[in-house]
Amino acid sequence: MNLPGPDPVTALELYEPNPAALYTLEEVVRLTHLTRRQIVRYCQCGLVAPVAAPEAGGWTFNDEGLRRLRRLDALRQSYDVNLPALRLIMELLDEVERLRQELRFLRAL
Amino acid sequence: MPVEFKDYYAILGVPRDASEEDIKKAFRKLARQYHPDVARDKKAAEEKFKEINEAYEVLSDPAKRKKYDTLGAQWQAGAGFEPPPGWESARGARWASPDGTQAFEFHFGGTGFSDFFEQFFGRGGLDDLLRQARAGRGAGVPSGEDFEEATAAGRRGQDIEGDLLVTLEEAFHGAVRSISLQKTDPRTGRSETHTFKVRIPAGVQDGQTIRVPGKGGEGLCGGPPGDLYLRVRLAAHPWFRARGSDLYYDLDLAPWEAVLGATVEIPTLDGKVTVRIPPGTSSGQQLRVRGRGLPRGAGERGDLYVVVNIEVPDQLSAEERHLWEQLRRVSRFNPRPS
Repeated sequence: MNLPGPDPVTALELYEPNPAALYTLEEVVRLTHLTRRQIVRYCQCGLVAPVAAPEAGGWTFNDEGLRRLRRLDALRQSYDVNLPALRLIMELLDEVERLRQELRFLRAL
Repeated sequence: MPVEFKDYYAILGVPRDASEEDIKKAFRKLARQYHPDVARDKKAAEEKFKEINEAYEVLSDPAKRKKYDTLGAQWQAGAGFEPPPGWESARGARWASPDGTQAFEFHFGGTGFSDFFEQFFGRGGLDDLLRQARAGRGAGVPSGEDFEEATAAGRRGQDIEGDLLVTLEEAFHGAVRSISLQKTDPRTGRSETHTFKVRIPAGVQDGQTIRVPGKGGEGLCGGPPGDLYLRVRLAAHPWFRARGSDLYYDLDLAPWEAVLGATVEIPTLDGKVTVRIPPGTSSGQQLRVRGRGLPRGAGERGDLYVVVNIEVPDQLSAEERHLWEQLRRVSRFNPRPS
């Protein structure tokens, strides 16, 4: 499954994601290109949840939160929808993903 | 991009009208044969194991199987493959930036899935939803209904999502995978391929995403690039099923073992364990082997559940039949109390 590349790869970058990584609100603003206000609003509407880490002080998010924020933004831009519709779409997408996982588990018998 | 047709029925060695049960049996048999832990030539076996998994992923799902059958109706072994007219590929399709000035086709390599699978059975997730929205509306103009617009100088690039087939062993030990992402500009035909390695952390779960920063679509007007999200798809395993960090193992028992109790040796991802089956164990009952599941961080591990399944002999000797008949006479057990 190798793809034809223009030139042979000599050195490969290695990405080592840290599944436990946490990001402060400032970092999330930089990484998602969303405004503080948008992020706070999404949190207030229950569309995304910060990770409870009182010792870190303030709000922190994990990779999943980051991904949700990016998805919310992409959906909002593409479909031109308001928050209740966004919420519905996200809930349905989550539900589909949950059901697919359950189906995969049951089929793997 | 033309792709090679995959004959999933041939891969599993079943006829096109095989029942779901036949497909499952064929998969299990082949998965045991080519499981990288068992096979002598590990590299070749791993390729084959992934191929079997992909075939099973499609053929075990009635909706995907139907789609596959329609797609391959005209295909003949040995012939080239052209999708019938009207077939939108699920992936590798064009992505246009919101203002329509940039359009790229993305193509993954090293995910464990074939190009054919990627193109037609890559999941219809958010990626596709967003693509449809853009195709339907042309250049998207975000509204400011709920928010004032972010007035950053450039717009951040698109995030790309892709599936990554991960074996249970890779999820258990962790692994490093080489991923390639080919971006093609359909207007010029120019394409560039980025290849990079991604560490799959030990204990990844089905559905979990691994974020590779900066490997998504290019930003606009000096904006930063988007990210690549690799969604983990755990490959079906001949013995175990994973749910979160717990593993499930189906254990077949003889009726007398279930009634009288037994001591059975079962496999785990790290060696065998001996499990004591208590007397009077019923089918479907779950016995927990603590701490023998997948890692879940901080040195902890999920559990292994042994799911009991009682098998009955289908051929009886005269003596066995006599004993069962005797049991029927003397037993006061009623499985259907009113």
